[in-house]
Amino acid sequence: MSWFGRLVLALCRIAFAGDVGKQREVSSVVAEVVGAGRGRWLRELGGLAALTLGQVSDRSCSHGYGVVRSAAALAAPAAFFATAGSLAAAMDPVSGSGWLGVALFAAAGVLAACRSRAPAVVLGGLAVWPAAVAAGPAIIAAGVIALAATVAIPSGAGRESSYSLAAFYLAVGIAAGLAVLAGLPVLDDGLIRVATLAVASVLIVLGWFDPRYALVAAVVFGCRFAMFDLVGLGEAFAGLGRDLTVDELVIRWVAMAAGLIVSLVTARRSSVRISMV
Amino acid sequence: MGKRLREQSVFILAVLASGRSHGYAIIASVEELSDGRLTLTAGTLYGALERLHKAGLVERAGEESAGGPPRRYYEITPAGQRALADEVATLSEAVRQLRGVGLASP
Repeated sequence: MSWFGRLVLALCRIAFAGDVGKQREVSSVVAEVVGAGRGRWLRELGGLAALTLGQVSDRSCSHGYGVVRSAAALAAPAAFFATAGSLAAAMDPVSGSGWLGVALFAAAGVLAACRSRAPAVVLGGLAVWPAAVAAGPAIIAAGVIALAATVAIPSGAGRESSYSLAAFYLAVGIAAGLAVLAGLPVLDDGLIRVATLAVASVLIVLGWFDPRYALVAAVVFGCRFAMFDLVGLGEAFAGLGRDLTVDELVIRWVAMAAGLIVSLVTARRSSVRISMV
Repeated sequence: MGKRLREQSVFILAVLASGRSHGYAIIASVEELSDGRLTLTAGTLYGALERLHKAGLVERAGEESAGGPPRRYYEITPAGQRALADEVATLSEAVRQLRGVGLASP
């Protein structure tokens, strides 16, 4: 079998796990279409990859893939903590109020995930003051993102669990571990920036199949944009910028603004797309 | 009123309205019916068939293998015929209104 045939079969196996007949049917139609010159192999592979992502996304609410979705959604705030480097600052032993802010945000996140939205908002609001005192606006933005990311958790999580609740807690554990690791000062700053961008970009791609992911990406870009880039650009123009030049800030400003627009457009188009048969 | 149909779903239902068909034949018929404007990939076709099946608009209609590869057939359901008729009526109405203001050729 050619590499193309093997790749097609591999994608079909993921898309139609457990339905061998369907796997054979789809891979044989792809071979027939390409063989008859009716479609180009690259286009067929693209179509099949989109189908596979869509199928996996559809399955995720009722099967164990929930953990992947939750981990992806919660990785967004983790990545943000990384970029801001604020978690390590907030967890400075000298700064007890930072711990309180992080703990309150974490509790609010869990409440939101369990669909107790109103108490989550109240708790998140209470977290703002100690967090701001300890680590400045960065941690507030991180907390807002953490709360917003909970919308990406499948609706089954919590009370009417259609997938294992243990999977949800595992995802929370993974995200919390990532956040702590990312906040450690030993990690390279450039690597952290790339990782943050990669996470947000992956969320946009996933957002094409589920608008909630694109909305989480929009929150990531939007918070960074509002909390750092706009302020930083203003400071740089006023001659107050400490680390970055105006050119660098303009590039970041454009990148964040573009990320925000792309994620919002993706969320809008995705929600229209999935509402049609 | 149910969910709106995507363009590809309308063409797939239109092909199946004239009789049951299998994957490759549906792709070929949609291309022919749309004068080559709509060329479905296998991924697009089976994604659409999954959605149409979940919505109760198409159903499987057996499997045959006459010398070639095994083929699964699909057919339109009565709900699919109603959905297709509704969609065609909506599109016709839009065209009629656009003609009224000179934005569509007769």
